[in-house]
Amino acid sequence: MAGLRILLGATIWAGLALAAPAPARAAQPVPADTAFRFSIQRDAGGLALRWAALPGHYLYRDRFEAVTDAGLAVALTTPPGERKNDPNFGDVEIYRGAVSIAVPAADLPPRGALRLTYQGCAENGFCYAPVTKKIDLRTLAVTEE
Amino acid sequence: MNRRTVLTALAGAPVVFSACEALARTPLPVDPQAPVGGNPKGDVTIVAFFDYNCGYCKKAAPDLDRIVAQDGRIRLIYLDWPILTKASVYGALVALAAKRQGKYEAVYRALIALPGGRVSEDQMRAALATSGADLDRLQRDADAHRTEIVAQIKRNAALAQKLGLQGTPTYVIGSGVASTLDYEGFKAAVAQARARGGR
Repeated sequence: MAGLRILLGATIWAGLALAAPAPARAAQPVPADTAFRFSIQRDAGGLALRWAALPGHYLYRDRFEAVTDAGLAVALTTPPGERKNDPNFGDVEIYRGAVSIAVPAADLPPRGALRLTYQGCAENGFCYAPVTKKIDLRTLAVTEE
Repeated sequence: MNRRTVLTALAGAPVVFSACEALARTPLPVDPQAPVGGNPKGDVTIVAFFDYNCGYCKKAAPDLDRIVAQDGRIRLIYLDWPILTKASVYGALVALAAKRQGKYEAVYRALIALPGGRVSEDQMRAALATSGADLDRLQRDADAHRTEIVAQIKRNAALAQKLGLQGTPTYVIGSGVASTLDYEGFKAAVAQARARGGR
């Protein structure tokens, strides 16, 4: 057989990603929300998304995604990161400590929600499941997906 | 989840093994469809949550194999939890399809041995050829049982969520939870599980 072909729709991948755990309760690695503290503010230009990674933890530059309620991708302009030969993803750019991403108001719908996904790992090799936050664009209330 | 944490310094690096009291009261509900390795009648169970593109899962795999083989009384349950890449989902699908012909562990070993964290579907397909699995049957089983296999993977993710697991690798050993273990770490965790009554 030339090759085993299984169609992997984005739906299944997205579904599995959504089924990944909400940070919080348990196991011994610190919860994702503690490892990668997230905050959001509205400013004159739009939204300021901020993360603060605990020492020994980092976020992947190419793992940030934002999608509107309508399923439209919102382009995120991420700052250059630190290059790292990562045990999970090879040669990548990462963020340690604080990182901020500005989303211009013009790129956002006037109402509805933004689903923001990001992922990070710990220096000890433990890799967190993707985290998805739902942000109400009117109130900026953040809920777990 | 109420836990007490035992800190043990092993092999020069601290290993954290968290004893989960909820699991001590009620054993982990094991999916009857989950692949089982080691000694199915063993007195201690290791439930491995892993991803085929998880670097530390790959690093720990030989140590996990070694402790299971040397101990002889460990039941090993594989719970595919693809959280890293789309190819990880592909790996889980083909491995679970291979279970239909009794080749899950052969495919697991072929895939988990692939170096790097960005192993593609093509690289996984090439590795399948070395696994000893009947690839024609694997294709048929993957096509015929795709819905059930995807549902099984989602059950694994749901169990991880229920337990509050954060990512991979995660090993539930008896009533404890651990992540980045080496051989000595596995050995200590199994001993602790036995000291608490096993299973």
